[in-house]
Amino acid sequence: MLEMLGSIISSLFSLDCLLFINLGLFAGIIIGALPGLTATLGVALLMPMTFGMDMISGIVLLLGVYCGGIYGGSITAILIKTPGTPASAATAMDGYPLAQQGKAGVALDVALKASVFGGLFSALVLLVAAPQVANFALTFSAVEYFSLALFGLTIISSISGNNQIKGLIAGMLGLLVSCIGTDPINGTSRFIFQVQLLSGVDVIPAMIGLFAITEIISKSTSVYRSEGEVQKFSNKGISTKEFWSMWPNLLRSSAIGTFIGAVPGTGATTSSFLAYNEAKRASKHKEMFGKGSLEGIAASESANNGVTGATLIPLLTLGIPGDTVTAILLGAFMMQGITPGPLLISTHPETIYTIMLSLILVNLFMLLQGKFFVRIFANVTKIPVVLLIPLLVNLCMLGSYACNNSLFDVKLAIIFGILGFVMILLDIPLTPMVIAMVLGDIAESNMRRGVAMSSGDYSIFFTRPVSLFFILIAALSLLYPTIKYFVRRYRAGKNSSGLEG
Amino acid sequence: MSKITKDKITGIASILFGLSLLIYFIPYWVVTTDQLNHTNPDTFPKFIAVALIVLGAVLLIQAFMTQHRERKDNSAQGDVSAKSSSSFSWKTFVRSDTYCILATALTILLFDILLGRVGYLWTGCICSVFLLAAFRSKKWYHYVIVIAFTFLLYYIFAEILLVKMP
Repeated sequence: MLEMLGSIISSLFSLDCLLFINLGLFAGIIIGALPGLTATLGVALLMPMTFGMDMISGIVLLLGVYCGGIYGGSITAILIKTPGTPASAATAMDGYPLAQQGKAGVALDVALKASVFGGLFSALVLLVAAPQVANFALTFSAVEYFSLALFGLTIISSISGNNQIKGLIAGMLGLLVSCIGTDPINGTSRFIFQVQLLSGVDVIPAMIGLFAITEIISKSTSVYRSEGEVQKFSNKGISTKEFWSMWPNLLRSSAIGTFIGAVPGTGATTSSFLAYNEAKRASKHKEMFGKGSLEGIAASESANNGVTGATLIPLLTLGIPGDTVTAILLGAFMMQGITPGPLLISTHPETIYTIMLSLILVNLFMLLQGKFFVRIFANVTKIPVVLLIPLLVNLCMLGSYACNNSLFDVKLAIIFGILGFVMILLDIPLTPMVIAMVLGDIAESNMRRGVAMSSGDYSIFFTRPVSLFFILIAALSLLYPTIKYFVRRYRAGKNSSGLEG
Repeated sequence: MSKITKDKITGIASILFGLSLLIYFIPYWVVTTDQLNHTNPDTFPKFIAVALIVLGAVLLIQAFMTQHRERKDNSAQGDVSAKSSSSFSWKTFVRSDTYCILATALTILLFDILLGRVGYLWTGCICSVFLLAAFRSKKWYHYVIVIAFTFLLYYIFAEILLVKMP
């Protein structure tokens, strides 16, 4: 045992390993920060580089890209309201308002620290309880996936503020967009106006359109107003005390991220929205959400980075890749002659523990590298609007092209940009549409699979305990404001009758 | 635009869109099969269409009720609205919000048109310079920065990330 521990430590702290962790992180953060390029693309791009490396160096390089890529998405989400990856869409909701208030430094710092916290949390869960978590996650069938997605969709009600109906309309539009493409069950076509829509609408160009292009057009109105005006800017981060005061939120969000990550086929985007919703529900300052809440950023970032270690749970313990990144990682493992699965822990214990521990190291180095990047990127807020707009147009157009190397995606981004601008003019919130686009596909395909499983009996969603649990908390979260209202009225009535008596 | 007008437009648009889905888009653009799986490819879109109609109707009713209430309050307070008129001037227009929005939107469309025809490098440079000129930026280094940024992005995407550029 001691011999194995020594061997693990010596390979983890070798110069090669440390160098590749940092290289991977550096590349990952840059790729994640560029709109249109995701952590998945980063891992896929760098995988050929690992052919000639030894196994540990290759894997830590890819893990660095993965973790860095997920974190990097938050940088542009906060600074220019352009989430680098879909997983950072929830971060933009509070990060961008903070950057506009001149608190970009604080927002970026919280995002970094929360990302590291979420990453470390899931790495520890991977180390300590991987087999147990994997077995529980595997009990999920289409029925549970549907109720989980339904629970995720209830966030629409809480982020729509005073525009509940408009939020629901936006949500319906998002669900409709998720229907475009080949039907997930029957394989027939739905709303395929162009052949490029066969595989549906890609979330990345849609998000660039809805968030970034809409913001660019809106921001252009302040070109003359901001002339000569010096943008308020503070590079100051968050104090350690203030950060740790959010520990219940961080723990809850990291746990959500870890749980969602362990369930194959869900992913970082779903987890960040779910955690954001739960953070808002539990917060004492609900009114701050959407206006620059640090709790919102912390929830979203710790949850999406919480996914990074958790996605390795089904991969390493059962050999099941839960998403595209882990599918690529599975390829990298097999290339090195290792087949992940239940036997891996007994045949290659040293390798598996080295990988698990390297994830902790990756997250610690991310804190150091992140500090460096935050200092550089925070300067974006100093760029005058007149110069920023052409730069952003360039970046967004190229980003929407690069996600699939398709000119059609540029057109999609523009269409969504115009739609988003009209929605803003009509006071229709944009985020419900993005959430519905992400969760719509999971909800619909699994609902239909669930109904098919039960031969058309919809009661299946209420008879399985995990599904019933999610449906109940979804219903509770929807009805909570109404219940609270009636309880308040009842109490007020009781108090006034007491006074009269 | 007042909140009531916005709500009315949203409500009407939602109802019309829901109806167009039910009458035209779903029957003509969704290929259905026999109900082998108890649900059809058009089940979800139909639910969305109906929801859009219902939500639009609720929003419209809410808007009319608010308008009715506000009218009652206004008639009690007396009408204080005043109309203003102004003649068009180019000088004022080029500093207006409408001009800025139009210039940005036009540049984005131009980007899309040029990208497939002349490639990214030319498109990026032309559109960035066009937008700066439209905003009447007089600082020469702004032009240098946007052109340099276009080249930098090209280098990152094409050379480092190996993206096949248009």
